[in-house]
Amino acid sequence: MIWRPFRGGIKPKEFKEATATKPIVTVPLPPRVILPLQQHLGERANPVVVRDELVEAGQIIGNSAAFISAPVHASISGTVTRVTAEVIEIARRNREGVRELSTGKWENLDKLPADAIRCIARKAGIVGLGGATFPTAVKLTPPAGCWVNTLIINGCECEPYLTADHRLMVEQSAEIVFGAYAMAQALQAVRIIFAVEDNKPDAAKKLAEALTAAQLRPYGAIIRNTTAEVRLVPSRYPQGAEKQLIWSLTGRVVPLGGLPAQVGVLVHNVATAYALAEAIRKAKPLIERVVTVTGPIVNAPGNYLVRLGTPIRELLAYAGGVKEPVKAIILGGPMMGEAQVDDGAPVTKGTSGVLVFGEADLAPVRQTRCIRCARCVEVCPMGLEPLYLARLAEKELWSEAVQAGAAYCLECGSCAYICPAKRPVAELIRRAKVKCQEGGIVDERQAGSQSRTASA
Amino acid sequence: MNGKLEVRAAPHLLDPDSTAKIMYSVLLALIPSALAGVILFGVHALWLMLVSVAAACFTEAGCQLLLRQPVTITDGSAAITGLLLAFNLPPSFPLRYAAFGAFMAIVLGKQLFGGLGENPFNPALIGRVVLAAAFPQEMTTWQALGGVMADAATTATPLGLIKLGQVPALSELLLGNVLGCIGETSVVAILIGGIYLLWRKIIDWRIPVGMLGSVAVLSVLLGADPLVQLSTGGLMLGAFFMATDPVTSPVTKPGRWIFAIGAGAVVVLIRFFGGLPEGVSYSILLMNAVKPILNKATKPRIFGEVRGRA
Ligand code: SF4
Ligand code: SF4
Repeated sequence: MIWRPFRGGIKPKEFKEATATKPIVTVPLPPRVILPLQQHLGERANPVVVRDELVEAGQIIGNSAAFISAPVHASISGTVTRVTAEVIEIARRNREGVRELSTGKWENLDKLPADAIRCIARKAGIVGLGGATFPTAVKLTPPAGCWVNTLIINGCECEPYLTADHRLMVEQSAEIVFGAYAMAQALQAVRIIFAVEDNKPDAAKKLAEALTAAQLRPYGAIIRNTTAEVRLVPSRYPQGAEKQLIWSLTGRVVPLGGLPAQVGVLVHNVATAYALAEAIRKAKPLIERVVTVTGPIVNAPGNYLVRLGTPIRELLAYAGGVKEPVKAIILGGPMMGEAQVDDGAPVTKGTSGVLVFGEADLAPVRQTRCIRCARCVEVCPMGLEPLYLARLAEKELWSEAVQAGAAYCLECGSCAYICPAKRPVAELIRRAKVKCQEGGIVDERQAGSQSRTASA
Repeated sequence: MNGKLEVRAAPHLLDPDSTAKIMYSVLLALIPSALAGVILFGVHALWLMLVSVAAACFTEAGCQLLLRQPVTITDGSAAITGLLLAFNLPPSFPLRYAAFGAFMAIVLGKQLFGGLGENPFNPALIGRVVLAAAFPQEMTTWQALGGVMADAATTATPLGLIKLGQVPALSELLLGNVLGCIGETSVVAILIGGIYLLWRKIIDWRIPVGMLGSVAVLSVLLGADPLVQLSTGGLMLGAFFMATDPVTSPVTKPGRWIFAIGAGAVVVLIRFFGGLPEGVSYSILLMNAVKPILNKATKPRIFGEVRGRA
């Protein structure tokens, strides 16, 4: 099977050595958690508990009736100390247990129709853990008329520094494979491809072994009805981007403004597959995740299994603290992650990494005028011309920026990474994107496919 | 937590290359040619380079002070313009005229359009064209005031000689032991710098390959020796250091092919059918002018876009 290189892309230094071989360590329960009610894309959940209420870990504390939403569970047992429309805080009472989902525990997928799997994913509060945080139950419901025959399990982890998915693949390959089969069952897919970047051969090997082992397990007919394979893809950023990965593995092109399901493919992250397996087999709601805590000044960089809502401060202290004063904290990877104003923010469902930088790692950026070197054009995986889009955004010509394709920017940051003039190209384009979404400006190219996208 | 955290926009990881590094690499790549120029044409060539670079930098700083903009001469771009202009001057060119040329290159060629990145034409070539118009005599006087070429028996450039029917030896052309502008004669020196820039991925290989390739192919078709055509006049210097100027060349790969091949074709047209012995400057300027059209015509396809859909 040939691999098709996606357009553009960059090869930044990986910085993964510090944590790639560090086994996942479980962080002790924090004394307090802060749980935002919007840890997913879609409708925010509404609080369903009140102040001073005693809650149990695993209990639903925020929920929504909206289709595109996900419930929020208490991640530790304790007393609710604060409830607002945005966030719920819980102070721990010493109780270890986790309330199980009411959906039961399942080993044989034959007994679980598609709806049951979607229902479990919903009840467990599972969302795309690669960072997109789109509710998994919704994603497992393809739009009418689309048959998703191919399921891609994304283990690329192309962001530098991050190794959480890598470790999960190495240590929990059997669970990931089970979760993938469960997803295939929900979609009636006939083909599963596990995509791993070639800088993680150990992860690919573990997944392949787990696939072989799964043939002997009582997982049900889905095992025989699907073909599954592990595919190595070259390490290049952003190989893990949905459309780019689909193209590389299947040669299918997702139409502009369209959905992967339209070409019969769906991409789920390995951590999402793992979470789904935990929910189905152990009735465990999503109350914890693996987070890579790393950066040049962290004393004990590593991969930590941590309860959602744990403040970064707490997690960082557990990772041995820092060698030097902290100058920046980034949640997520260095390419797409968000810089924090302080260390009080909590780990949420979408937090794949915590990067900590000191003074020396934050060289002042000397910006110059754009020299038209076209490196940004060369690396843009979407085939956009970032220099022009950024210029339109600078002049606040939002609608022109959309006509030039700003809406299709992945926000991958490749253009800003490569720019020798150190211009914040990606940020400018992102701003144009947001403005247009707010203002309801759409690209002419997309106008025709609006109805389709809206229904998704 | 002591002190405030810095909140920058993603990405938080940046490529180590910067505008200044690129510009300084270009300057570094020009050093072999500068040395060759001094060896071949004597100390006056060195003075020409220094005066031209200094004038370009001063002019840039002066313009920016007048316009109350931050002074950016440390980014090296003005120095490149100055040096390239000097490379395009005859060995005995008066220093004060060179300073004037550098001044015009920066003012007319760059600052008038808004400075770095905004100029449609290569500023050094603008300077050269201004000098050719203002001092036609001096710009076509070929005489070395020192160096290896001081006792050359002729006062004609190789392209001039070819028009008279005398073809110089290829080895002399490669080394640059011929009359011409101070930075353009030594093919070897230009290649050393050019290959360095290609290796550093600072210039796009499509431009020298396309431009030199089209000159070679068209010369063969016209019955001329392609190697002699490639190694004479300002072609090498133009193909590696002037047509490759990122600001004034197209941003797309197909656009760059057309740009380069077109520039080569114009060189051949001028050399074989034009009134001038040499046409590299004009060919590049002409393609600079076409650049916006090329950019529009070769816009990359957005991934997933279906063109021409009803
Ligand atoms: S951030 Fe947007 S414009 Fe920049 S490279 Fe990525 S997709 Fe292209
Ligand atoms: S990479 Fe930066 S300097 Fe180069 S063309 Fe793009 S925006 Fe301009």
